[in-house]
Amino acid sequence: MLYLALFFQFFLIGALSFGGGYASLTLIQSTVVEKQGWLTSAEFADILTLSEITPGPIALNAASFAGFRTAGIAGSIAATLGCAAPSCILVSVLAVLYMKYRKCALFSNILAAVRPAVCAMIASSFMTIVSIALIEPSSGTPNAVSVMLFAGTSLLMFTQKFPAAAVILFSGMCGVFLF
Amino acid sequence: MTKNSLFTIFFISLRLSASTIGGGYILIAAMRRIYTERLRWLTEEEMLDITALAQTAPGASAVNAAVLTGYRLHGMSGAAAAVLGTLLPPLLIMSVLAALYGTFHETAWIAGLLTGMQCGMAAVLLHTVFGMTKSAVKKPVHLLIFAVILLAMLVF
Repeated sequence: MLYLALFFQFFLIGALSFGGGYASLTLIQSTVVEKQGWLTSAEFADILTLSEITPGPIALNAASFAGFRTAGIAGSIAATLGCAAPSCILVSVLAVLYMKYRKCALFSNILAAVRPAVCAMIASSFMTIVSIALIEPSSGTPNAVSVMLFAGTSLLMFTQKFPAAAVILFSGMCGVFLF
Repeated sequence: MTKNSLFTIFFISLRLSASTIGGGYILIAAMRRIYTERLRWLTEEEMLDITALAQTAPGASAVNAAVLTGYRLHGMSGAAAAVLGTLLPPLLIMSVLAALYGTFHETAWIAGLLTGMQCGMAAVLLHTVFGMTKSAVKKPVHLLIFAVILLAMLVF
């Protein structure tokens, strides 16, 4: 019964969380902490911190963690599958439609117009992270160490073929010693 | 077709999911790095379409992007392999952390690690924007769309 509840509650979270990532935090918190009482507020806050330094989407991390705390490894699996199931069903349909219609004139024109918008959204996400990582919050001026780390890793990305995760982890290791 | 084998898709997804820290577009950037730049299995246009669809649909965009890339490369079984590879690392890592969970304290070296990783993420995103925009902006109107959306994102 508990496994079903975990699956179902996280199924709802997966189905209703539009905008992804931090947009779904309120929904996860109200379900897991307030309605179901599977985690305390302090545990939930710790998941947020853990999610920043471990791989995986925040919703799935919360699902695995809450599932395990509530009902062991089987609970963890039930919650994770519940959380991923709506995406899998809906996006499979999208994937089939995309492959079928992407060559059709109307749809391919829409896609061509959407692509620059996607680039702009990634560019804005780049600017957000620059303002967090490179600017000193107290003075509002750029931090010299951060700027050099950013310049060095940019050089790595543009000239070498290292995986993105390797560059990020390398940069994090440098950060441990530099900050 | 051996290069697009189910095992390869599963393994790449597993590796991406296990190693890519930082939400939002970082996983998309890492996927583009391997599928578009290194392996050339997906074009810039396909990667952009996958990003748009993955962000629009509800749920974790990592799972959405896994379904889309897996399906594009190997049909429904490819989508299943990619999703399985994407789900396993957070499932195992968070279960282990939940089992070991005591009181978790943020320490100085974690703060340094986070700031350092953010510098690297900025570099990864900058590179991704350059690569994707080159193929997305083909007409002046595309540049206009790019500028208007960017302005809107920064203002609101």
